[in-house]
Amino acid sequence: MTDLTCASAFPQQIIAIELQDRPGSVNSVAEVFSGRGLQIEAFHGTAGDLNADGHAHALIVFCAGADRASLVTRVLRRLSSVRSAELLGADDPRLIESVLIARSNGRPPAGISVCALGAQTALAAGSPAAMHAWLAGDDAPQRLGALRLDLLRDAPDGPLAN
Amino acid sequence: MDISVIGASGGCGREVVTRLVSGGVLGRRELLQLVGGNPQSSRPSYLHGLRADLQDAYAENIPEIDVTDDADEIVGDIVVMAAGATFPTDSAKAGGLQSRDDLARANHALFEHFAAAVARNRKGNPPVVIVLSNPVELGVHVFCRHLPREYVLGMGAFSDSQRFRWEIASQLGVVRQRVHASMAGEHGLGMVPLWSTVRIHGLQPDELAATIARLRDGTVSADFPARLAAEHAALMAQMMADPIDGPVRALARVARLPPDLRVALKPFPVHYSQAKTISATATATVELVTALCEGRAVEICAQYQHRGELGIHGPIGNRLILEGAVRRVVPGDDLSDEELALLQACGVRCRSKIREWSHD
Repeated sequence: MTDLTCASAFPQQIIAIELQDRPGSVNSVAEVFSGRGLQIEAFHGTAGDLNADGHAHALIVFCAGADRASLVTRVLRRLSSVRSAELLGADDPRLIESVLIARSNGRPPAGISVCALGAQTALAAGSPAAMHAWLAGDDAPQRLGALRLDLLRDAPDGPLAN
Repeated sequence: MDISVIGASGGCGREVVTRLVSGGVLGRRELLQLVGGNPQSSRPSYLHGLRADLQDAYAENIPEIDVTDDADEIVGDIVVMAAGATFPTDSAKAGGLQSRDDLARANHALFEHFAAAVARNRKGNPPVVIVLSNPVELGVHVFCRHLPREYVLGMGAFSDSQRFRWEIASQLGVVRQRVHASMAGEHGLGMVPLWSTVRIHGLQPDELAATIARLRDGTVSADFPARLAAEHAALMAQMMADPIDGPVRALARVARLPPDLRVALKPFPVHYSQAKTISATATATVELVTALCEGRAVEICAQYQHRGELGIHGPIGNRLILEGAVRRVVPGDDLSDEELALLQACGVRCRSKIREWSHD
């Protein structure tokens, strides 16, 4: 079964960024990770939800120690294509939904809702913490798409607030 | 690799930045960070203008260029410390502000400010810090109080060694690439020429010994500090007596001296000619940065915080093995007893000055 959690001894980290909507922006962000040997486990961005000034929200999931995660966040902030970058804790209240497409024969744990798409595929949704626990557990589903995390609630004073 | 240049608006900092970009040292997606060294600068827009100018000039292969005045935003894997006061270039004022004590007092707080900020944010991922600002030994000492010493280098001995190689090469009529030599000790009037390290490609041992003897013209290492002090005093007197043509005459005077004295003395008329030693320093810095970026294991000569290696304590120039960071000090078994004694004495002197400068 595919390991859906980070294939790493390091903890999962999540960075929320505001990214300029222009060609090359994602590439410049990706280089910050690849240049340091860090693998992006999931990248969820949306161009359909731009701020008034043309910045998109994006979430990046990766595995790294706290120091490296902090450095990567600081480097991202210095890119011309990135307006803000914030390292989020796994229990950050703004992370309220994780969604993925999975193949699972077992029953999902409490906190995860599953909607069948086909004979063996399903759309699973739940809190990031519950999703992470499921993916890390013995009954982990087989991932059929990238893990997706939605940032659905903005803190009024946070850098990601509109 | 990402590179931060502190003091990028200064003469040397700007030259380093320009060469890093024009030389293609950084890739398109790597970050070159221009850090203002003076938050109270009278030219707060300068670095933004420099960035735009560099982008216009080198658009074909330009790295990501960031500008900041905030020391807490320094993110480079390599940090070049080029900020701080330097001696005025007017030879008529050469006797005024101009001691290294004055320079130390002026730059100590700046070293402390940036060293503390880098350490505060990079405890687990220290960058390699290359100190260009003077007194370079004080800079190395201050940064080493905040960061592991393996990550802190001073450019003084690196530049001096390049000059030493050139002075030998030019006298022999060969290219510098054929000459290997190290100039260690304290940058300025405390440098220690390591003649034992001189190698000239193509010369057999007996030819090399005869060539070195001819170059040294009967001088010995133990006399070097006294000869240097005497020549320096005469040189400065000559320059101050004639602010217009003094530097040119001083350069002619220096040209008649042995190679080791030329290395120590030539930067003075170059500086007071108002050309300054910017090109040599920047070229040497970019060479060192390139070696770090390429991850090569190299032997260099640079200021390093010694803790008893070769009997030396203190941040003086010496030969080092560099592999990303300093791996070790080169064993001194090829040095003469005189050279070793000079290095050890230099370390003692340097520590004493630093205690005085930093009130440690």
